[in-house]
Amino acid sequence: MEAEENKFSLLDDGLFRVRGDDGVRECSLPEVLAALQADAVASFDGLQAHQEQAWYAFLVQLAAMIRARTDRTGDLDTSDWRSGCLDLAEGNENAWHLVVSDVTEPAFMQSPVPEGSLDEAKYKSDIPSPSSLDVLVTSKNHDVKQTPIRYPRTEHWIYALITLQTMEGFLGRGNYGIARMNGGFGNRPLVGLAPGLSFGERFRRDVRVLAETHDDTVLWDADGRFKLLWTEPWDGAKASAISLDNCDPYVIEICRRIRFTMDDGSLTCWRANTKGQRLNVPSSLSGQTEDPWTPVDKGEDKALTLGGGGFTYRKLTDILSGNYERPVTLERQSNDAGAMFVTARSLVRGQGKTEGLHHRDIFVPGEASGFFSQGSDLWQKLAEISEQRVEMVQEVESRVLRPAVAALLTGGRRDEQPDWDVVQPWIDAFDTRVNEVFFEKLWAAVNLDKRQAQNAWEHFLKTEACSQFEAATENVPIPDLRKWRALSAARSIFESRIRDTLEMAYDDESSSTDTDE
Amino acid sequence: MYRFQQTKYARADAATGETPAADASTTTSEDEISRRLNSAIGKIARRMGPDGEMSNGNIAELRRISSENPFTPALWKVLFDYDLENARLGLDQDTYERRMATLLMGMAHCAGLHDYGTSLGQALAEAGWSELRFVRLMEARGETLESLIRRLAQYLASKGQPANWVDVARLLLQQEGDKAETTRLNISRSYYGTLYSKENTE
Repeated sequence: MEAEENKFSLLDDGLFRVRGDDGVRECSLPEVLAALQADAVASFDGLQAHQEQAWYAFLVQLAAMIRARTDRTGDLDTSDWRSGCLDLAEGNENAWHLVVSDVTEPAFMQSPVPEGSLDEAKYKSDIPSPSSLDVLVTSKNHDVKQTPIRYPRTEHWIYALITLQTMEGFLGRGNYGIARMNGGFGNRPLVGLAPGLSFGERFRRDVRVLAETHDDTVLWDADGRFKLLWTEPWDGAKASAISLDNCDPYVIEICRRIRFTMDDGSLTCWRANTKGQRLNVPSSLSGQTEDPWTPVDKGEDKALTLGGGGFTYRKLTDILSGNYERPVTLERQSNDAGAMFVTARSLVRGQGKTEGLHHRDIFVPGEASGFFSQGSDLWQKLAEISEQRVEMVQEVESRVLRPAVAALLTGGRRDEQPDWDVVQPWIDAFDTRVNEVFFEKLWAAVNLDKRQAQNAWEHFLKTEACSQFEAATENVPIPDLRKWRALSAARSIFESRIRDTLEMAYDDESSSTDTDE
Repeated sequence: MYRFQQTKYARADAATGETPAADASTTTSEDEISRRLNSAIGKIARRMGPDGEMSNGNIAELRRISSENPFTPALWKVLFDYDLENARLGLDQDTYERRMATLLMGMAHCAGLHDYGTSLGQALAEAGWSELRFVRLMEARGETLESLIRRLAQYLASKGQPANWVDVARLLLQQEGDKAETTRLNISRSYYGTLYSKENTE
């Protein structure tokens, strides 16, 4: 079936540079899967930070689909992974080549072109480099250079292609996004548990969890015809969208019509517009596609779209405390043991810009692991404590710090409006400090009774608020003439309100020393 | 005693005559000295009052104290009578005596107007002491502060405004460090607090 002109087989060619303990090896896709299973991967050369999540999800979904169809329980070797990949494409090797000259055949992440030729289907070759292909929208050469790769290797194109096809949203008419996202301007966050932070440790655990829960689906079909969405011809018409109940729960999506050709020994990337999404998803679903890593907001009935603020303690508390339905990888499973990490990643898309690549790993000691079994006693306790703590931080910020710093700025004049933008950095600094230690202190509360835990938290907030207020009194620019008026007004506000807000920290000074949070 | 203090406070700041922050062992004695001072100021004020025992001559002598001539027999007499000759709060002897001279000069101007219940800030605000002057007072140190205290005393006296002169003593005797900052802040609070309530009632 394989045509002579086909190039770059992911199944057989060493296209990926994998760095391990013994240096860098050039691996094929099945070798990559085997190396991950052996936890022998330190990093992937050529993979950019913003592409890592897409690459990870792709590998895990692929491996989980293969695993779910394998009777064996032990490790799979390279040839098992190879035949597994091939089986998912129903034996069509073309589906695993980056360049397939016959456009009516699938190529890797490139659907067959039913029109018969790229010209006929109005494809354009206006993507000069991998950096122009993937999801990053950058208007300026800041964190990521707009054209960072002068001489791209094949792997650069593959990583960019996977990122585009599995993570992209709506980008103007004719450019529709993936289904696993709440709306065209959303993003696809990844939040899960992991026994360790290496690529391999995370991979092994998630593949196991996904394979075990492969059948637990409402929307999808565990025996669905489509596992790799690019194997089916696509003319871009709205009516050609594929229904979810024809797909495997971990189907690897594509969202754009892309084709690669070889011209004079170099790769050319072609793209064409479509009239609708590849997967037929009603907008009322709001991204609730049973994605293994995406939490679902219960109140608003939609998948989480991370904001530019990233995975703050507030957002994570919201996710962990019951306001969100946790994705399967965020639930503690029967084989999970001891300490783990919460890993959270997302590239936040914005309109006409990118609002940051957010990444957070939180260590969870063994004694706090019950927090990840929804409904357990420890979950109840920690969920309640964490919500109270977030509220208390909010109170200190809005009732104490904000008005006190504002009084410094206005020189204590009540009729003057403060410049809230100047006040904000002090509130942010306090919040950042809380963010740094929030979970560490939450886990410490496992061994404390309710009163002790609250006492310890109030003392912490008091110390941090005082320290921020002192810093503000020294650094907020106040004209000399207003200095004493401003200081006296601000201090009066701060001291009276902090005592009201953190009553326990002032009433119960002695007991705080007994707790070691 | 004198030699001990000479050694202990040998590192006094040349500009203000104050030592670096006191350690824990000196804090207690400082508190004790402060208490002694507070009580002495009340007694001195009573002696200067209408039915007090201090002679008009002595009060006039104290009133005449100036930066050029800070030391008068009336000053030594008061310091010895109330056991205040060594209540120096970490100051060198000369600086301490100059500041006590300024305090007594002010009290003499305001004879009969000492009131524990009216903090200095409140008194200044009640008497209409301007915010600009108030800020200058809070920023002043050393000789500038001494000359401002003279003006302040004359001003309060002219308005017949009672004030707690313990606040003035604190302002004069501890001019640097955290305690001085706290003193100024407390005076500011009562000054601006009174100002606000005056603005609101007017």
